[in-house]
Amino acid sequence: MRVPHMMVAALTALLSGSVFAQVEDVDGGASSGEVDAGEARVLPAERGPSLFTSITDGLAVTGYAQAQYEMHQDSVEQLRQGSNVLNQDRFLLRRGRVRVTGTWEYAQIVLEVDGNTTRAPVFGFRKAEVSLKWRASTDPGALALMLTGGLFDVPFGAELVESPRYRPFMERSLASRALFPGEPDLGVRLSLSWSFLRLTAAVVNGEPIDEPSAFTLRDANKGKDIVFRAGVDTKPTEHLHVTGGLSGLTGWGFHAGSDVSKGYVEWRDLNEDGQVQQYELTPVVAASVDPSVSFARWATAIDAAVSLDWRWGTTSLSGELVLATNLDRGFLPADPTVLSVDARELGWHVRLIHEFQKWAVIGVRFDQYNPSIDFFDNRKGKLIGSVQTVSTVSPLIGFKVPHGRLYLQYDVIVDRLARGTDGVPSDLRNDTFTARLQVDL
Amino acid sequence: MSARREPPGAATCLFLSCLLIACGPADPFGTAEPFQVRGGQFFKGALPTASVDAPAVTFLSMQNAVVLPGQAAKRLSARANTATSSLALALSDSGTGYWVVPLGPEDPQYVGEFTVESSIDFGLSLAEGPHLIRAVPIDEQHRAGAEAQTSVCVASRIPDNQHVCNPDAVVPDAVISLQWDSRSDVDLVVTTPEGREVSPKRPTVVPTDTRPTAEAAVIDRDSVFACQEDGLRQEDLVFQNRPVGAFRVAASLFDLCQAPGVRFRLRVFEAEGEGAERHLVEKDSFVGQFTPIEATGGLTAPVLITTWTF
Repeated sequence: MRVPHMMVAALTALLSGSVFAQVEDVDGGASSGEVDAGEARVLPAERGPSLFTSITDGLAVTGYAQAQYEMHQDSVEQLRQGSNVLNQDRFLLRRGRVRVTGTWEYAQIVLEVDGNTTRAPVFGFRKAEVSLKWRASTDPGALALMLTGGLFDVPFGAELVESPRYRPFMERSLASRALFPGEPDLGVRLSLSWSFLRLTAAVVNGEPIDEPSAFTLRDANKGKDIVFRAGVDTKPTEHLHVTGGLSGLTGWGFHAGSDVSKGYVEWRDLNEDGQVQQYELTPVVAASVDPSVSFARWATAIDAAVSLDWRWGTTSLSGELVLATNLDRGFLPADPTVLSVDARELGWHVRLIHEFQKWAVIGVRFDQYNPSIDFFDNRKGKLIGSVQTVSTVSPLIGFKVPHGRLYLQYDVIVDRLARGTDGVPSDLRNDTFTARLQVDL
Repeated sequence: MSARREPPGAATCLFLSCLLIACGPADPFGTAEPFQVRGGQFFKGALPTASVDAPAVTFLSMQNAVVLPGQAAKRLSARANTATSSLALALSDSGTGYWVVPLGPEDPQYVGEFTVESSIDFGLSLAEGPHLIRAVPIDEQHRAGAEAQTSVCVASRIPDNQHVCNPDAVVPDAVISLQWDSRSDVDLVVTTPEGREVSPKRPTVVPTDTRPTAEAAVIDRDSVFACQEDGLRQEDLVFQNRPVGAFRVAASLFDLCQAPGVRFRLRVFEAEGEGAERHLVEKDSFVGQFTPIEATGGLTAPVLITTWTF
C-alpha cells in the first residue's frame, strides 16, 4: 500500500540527504532478526544533505572481547586418536568481535567479524546482513517489516538469537549447541513486528557456522531449511516484561556418500606373530561409488521468559523446550541413512537470574538434552532401552567491572558417557569451571 | 566405582582447590596407560578383590601369548557365568588402574556362559618378559569374584629372535639399532667392509644377484615409510652371525614429515654368554639430530655416525 511511496521517498531522501538516521546502540537487537521496539532508538538526523554524510551518519562501531580460563575435570595431557588435544585446562580468547552497523530509515547493514582461539586461531565473519526495512510510523508499537539477506542468526527459539555479549551464561545450553553448533547461517529472513507480536521466518542453507562437517556455510543439497518463530514481547506493567514464542524448523540433512575406491590387499595378523602368512592376506575389491542421500529433519520449540524489576534489582525466569528429529549436528550428529532409524532429540532448560542493580548477577541454569530418545544399550547380547540424557546444572556469579563484566560459572554435568564397574553406563567426571572477563568496545 | 559421581562436597573441594593450585585430575580415558582395552572403561586404582563367590570367569585366553613391542589389537577371549555383569582387566606390574568391559552375548556352545571378546593394546613402555593378564568378574552389585589369570610375554624391542620369551631361541650375534623421537622418515644406512650399502631400500648385506639366506644380516623394517606412523620409529640391522670388519654406520633423513626436527640414538649390541644365558649387551650409544635443512629426500649423502669394528 504505502510501501512504494515510502521506497520512493527513501531513495529520494537518500539522494537528497533529507532523511537520515542515527543509532544509539545497535548491538544485540539486530541479531535477533526482530524489528523490535528498540528500533525506535533510530532517530531522524539533523545533518545537512550529502550522500557521503548520509551513509556515515548511520554507522556505528561496537564490539567486545571475552578472555577466559577454563578447567575441565576430564582434561588429560594426552592426544586423542587423530592428534586432537585432550587437555582443556587453558586460557583462551572465546570471542573477539567487532561489529559495524549501518542503519538508515529504509536499509540496514550489519557486518560482524570474530577472532577466537576456541578450536584453533580463527578469524572470520559471524554476521553479514543486508536489510531493507519499513516502519509505519515512529511509534514503538507500529507495524514494521524487515527483509534480510546474508549471514544471520537462525531465528529458532529465544536462546539461539541471544547475543553472547549479553547472555549471562558462558555458552548456550547443550541442546541448543547440539542442534545448532553455530548461530549464523546463510539465507533470507523476513521479520514483522506489530505491537506485542514478533514474527520471523527464514529460509537458510541448513549448514550453520561451526558445524563439524565439510559443508559449513555451503549447502550440499538443494533442499533448504525453513525456520520460523512466532512470539510475543510485552510489558503488562511498568516492571514486568513477558516474552514467549513458538518456533519450527523443517529441512533436509545430508549424508555424504563415498568415492570409488581402488582394490588392495589387506593383511590381518590372524595368529598375531607379526609375520605374513598367505592365509592372512585378503583381497579387497574395488568398491563402486556410494551415492549421497538427503534426509528429512525437523524441530519445534516453545520458549517463555518473565522479567520483573523490583526493589532489589531485576529477576528473570526463562525456559525453552525443543523436540527434534535428525537435527543434531554438534553433539551426536544424527544420520538416519545407515541405520534407517530416525534420531529423536529432546532438550530443555530453565534459568533463573537475578541482577543486583547493575553491579552483580547471580543465576543458575538447569539444562537437559537427550540426543536419542530411542537409544539402546547392549548388555549380555541383548538390546536394552537406555538413556543418553546429559543434565547440566550451571550456577553463575558475575560482577560489573568498568566497561565490562567478570563472570564465574561452574557446570555440574551428569551424563552416561562412562561405564561403572558393573559395565552399565554411568556418569563421566567432566564438570567444568570457567572464569571470563569481558570488556566492551 | 570410582567413575560414579562424587558427592557435591568433593566437587566443591575440587573447585576450590583448583582455584588455589594447578591441579590435574585423573585420566578418565586411560590414554597414558601401557595396557589398554579398547571399548573398556578405565578405573584408577587396584583391581577389586574377591568378596563373593557367585561371579566367576570360566575361560580366559589370548590367542598368541607373545606380545610384540607396541603391539595393538591383540585379541583376548573370555567367558564368565550368569552372575557376572562385567569383567575387570589389568596387566600385572604395570599401569595405574584397570579396565572394565561389559559381557557380550551368551556363548551358544557353553550354555550359561557369556563371552567377552576384547582388543588389547600393549604400550612400548612395557618391560620385556613375562606378565600376567588378570581378570576379575564383577556382578551387578559391583561385587568382585575370584580372579583369573593368563600369561603373556612381551618381546624385546631390540630384536633377539624372541629369546626373552623363549630361552631356546638363539640370540643374534649383533644388532645395530637406530631409534628417533618424532614422526619422521629416517633411515639407517650401513656400509659393509665390502663396500655394500645396506638401507631399508636394500635391506640385506648380500649382493643383489645372490639369494639371501635366513642367516643373512637384514634391516628389519622401513620405519615411518612415506611418513606413515608405525609407532616404533626404529630400524635395526640384525646379524644372526657375528660380522667381521669395520662397518660405516650412518643415518639419512628422507622426510621430516612436518616435524620441526628429529633427534636420534644409535646403539650397537653384541651377544655375550652361552646357551640360555646368552643375551645382547649394549656396547655403545651415539645421539644426534636432524634439522629441516637436512631433509632432502635421500639426495644428499647420509650423515656418518660412527665406524664400528666388530
